[in-house]
Amino acid sequence: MKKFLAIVLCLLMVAALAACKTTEQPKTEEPQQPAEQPEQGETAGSETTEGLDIKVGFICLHDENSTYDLNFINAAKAACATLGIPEGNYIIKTNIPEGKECYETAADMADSGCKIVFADSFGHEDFMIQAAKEFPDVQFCHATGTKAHTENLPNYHNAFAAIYEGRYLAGIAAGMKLKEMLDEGKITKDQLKIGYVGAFTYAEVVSGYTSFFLGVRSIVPEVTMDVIFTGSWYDEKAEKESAIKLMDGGCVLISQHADSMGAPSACESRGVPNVSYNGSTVSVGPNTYIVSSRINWEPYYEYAIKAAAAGEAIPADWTGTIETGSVELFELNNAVAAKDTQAAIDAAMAALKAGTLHVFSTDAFTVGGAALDSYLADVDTDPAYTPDTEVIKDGYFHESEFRSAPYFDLRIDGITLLNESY
Amino acid sequence: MHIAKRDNLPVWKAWLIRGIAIIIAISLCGLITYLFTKMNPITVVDKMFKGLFGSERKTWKTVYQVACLLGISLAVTPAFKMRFWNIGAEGQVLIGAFAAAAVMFYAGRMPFFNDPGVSMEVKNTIIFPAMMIAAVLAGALWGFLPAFFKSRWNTNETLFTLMMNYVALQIVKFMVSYRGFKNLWSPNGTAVGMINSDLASAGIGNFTKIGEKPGTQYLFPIVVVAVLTVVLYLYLRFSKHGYEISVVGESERTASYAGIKVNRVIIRTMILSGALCGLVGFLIVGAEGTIAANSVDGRGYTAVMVSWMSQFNPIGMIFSSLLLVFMQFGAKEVPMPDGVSLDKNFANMLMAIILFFIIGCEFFINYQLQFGRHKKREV
Repeated sequence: MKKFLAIVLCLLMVAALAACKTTEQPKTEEPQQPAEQPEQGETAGSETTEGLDIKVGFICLHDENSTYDLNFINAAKAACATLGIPEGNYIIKTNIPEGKECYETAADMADSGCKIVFADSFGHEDFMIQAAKEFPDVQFCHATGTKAHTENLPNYHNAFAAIYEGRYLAGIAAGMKLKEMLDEGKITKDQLKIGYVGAFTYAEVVSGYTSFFLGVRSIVPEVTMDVIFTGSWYDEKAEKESAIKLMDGGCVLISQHADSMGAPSACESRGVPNVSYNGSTVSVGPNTYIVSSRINWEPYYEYAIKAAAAGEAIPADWTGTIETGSVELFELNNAVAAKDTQAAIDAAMAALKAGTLHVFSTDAFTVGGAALDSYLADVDTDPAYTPDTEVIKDGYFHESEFRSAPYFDLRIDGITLLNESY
Repeated sequence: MHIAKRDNLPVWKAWLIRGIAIIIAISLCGLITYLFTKMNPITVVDKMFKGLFGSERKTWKTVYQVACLLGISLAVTPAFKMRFWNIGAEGQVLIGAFAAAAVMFYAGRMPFFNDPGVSMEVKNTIIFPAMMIAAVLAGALWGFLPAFFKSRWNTNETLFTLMMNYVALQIVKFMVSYRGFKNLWSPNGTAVGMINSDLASAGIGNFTKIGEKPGTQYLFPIVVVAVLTVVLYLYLRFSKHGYEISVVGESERTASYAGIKVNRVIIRTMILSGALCGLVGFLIVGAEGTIAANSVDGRGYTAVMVSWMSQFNPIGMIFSSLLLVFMQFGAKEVPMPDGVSLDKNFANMLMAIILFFIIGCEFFINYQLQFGRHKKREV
């Protein structure tokens, strides 16, 4: 009996292990949501007069619990509804890791008749390329990727948005808040320091915090910024602790580029204003949340699906802008934002649209004390980060022009990186 | 009420109990799927079938998944038959896969393999055996260590093999997949994608160019596992080694009285187990062209169940593997009305239900519950 019990316990242990092993994400709620969803699809379907006859597939790294993926999933559903693609003709697969599973899923989708397949995470890229090589008649579109313009496959495409412009606008909202705090005497000029919680030292993050900082500085020229990297896109504890560390270090306003509620909730507990990214965090920070910038993927999805249905070519790189509706600033929280913030944003937005204002104008920043008149960026991906393309001309850094994904990786004066290990 | 050992249950009754368990398990899976998706169970099963066997490529892939699980199950079986609780298959397969991937990775940096003058066949006849040998050796080492410590110092093999899994996992993570960490194989700090993608798309170091049609890269692993099934069946059933394994499993004392060198059998069998796991690791890397920390994805643990629920019978394992793969991979093919498919978390839930019932029913085969006061011997 004893021996038998030992065996049963042993097996239970293994069973537990087998069960835990594959469910690393802390989320399993997904299947509970469909009850309310179908209506959405139905009403959308009945609104449109004619639907596109095309099957579409979407691959997501995580599920609705991640703000990043939720942003994609909502855009996917909205795009399909607008284009009148009936349910059953689009498939969304969630929790697809950045590995072989991505290729398998993309190939399966192509196999099931999808004419266009989208993936949302940086690490999916190699596997999307692999699928693109195997299924030349199917279009494969990858958000945030960098290799399409060098891979030269007619059916593989990258997309991103000029989100640095959105960050810049969010920076203006932050700058207005700082100015208000100065004017009200809540802080003095020497206290003008803001903090930023970043995920990794990738160009995407560097480009984001730099444009945000330049936006702030366009309103309050004396400002400086401290940056801490957490080494993860989603680590609530690390993001919270980093925000607290920044506030302890004298930062009077915080922004972040990481997907959890860590930094916003830390700000709320200290009453420090916060600027978000990719989604509104007003729910955890009703008294501190100012505004959030985000990429709206719907315009790209609609454009690419339409092109695929019509058999038209999709460019290797597609960069969404304010004009395409891809770069958005949303949910300005008037309870926290300074007066006239909206007007300041609108003015800057108009200037950006008109091309009279450039976020990375060489007049706006210096590196090592000197303004730049030339910079070679690593636009063509290679393991050694070889700089290959001149990106400064006409007096500004041409971000997101030579490829859709950001490549601004300069460390400009006025920003201090408190750690750089990621 | 008390629990009593059944003396000898007729075979047909044992299978009846197992059959009932499977039917209950599948019904429960159907019920849960229905409650979550509100879809007709028949539609769900139909979608699972279409998703797994809907095209030639998908059928190949499904059979390949069965072959992987079956291969690992076969590999752990000799050790289990010996009552050596080897739950280290996960690590043994992963380290084998890692060794094979390492050969592939470093060969890709040699001029010879990049020389367009040499044909793909020549390159592959060199690289495949090298990858296989590396994988088998690595797996064998991962099997040998716990067995050696067990026979020398009587360490607990369950804990030892379990810990070896984490060692293998961390090695692989360190080398290939720590995000944000400048890992050795991927200097830009992301997970490794396709290894040597240029060579890989030319079919060097992987099985993609073995067949013309999509999916035939899975042919080689499937054939290898099929052969392995037969060989292992014969080995366990008819060879002297197989007999020794059974005797050691029944009772180590009996075995040593009979003149069997128990420690030697333990070490030999564990090396065999580990080597076979390593071989499966090679097959996975060859078929998939890359390695990641989740390349084995828990199958090393699932295989323990497969082996157990088939009573260590290689032929039975074919069906158990098929059932588990069908539920696990099939669930992911079911799109819900809003377009979002069920994901692997849901699939794992279904698999857990099946395993729970199948393993659980063994209790009722070996024991019976008695109500009232019967005069039967207590256990």
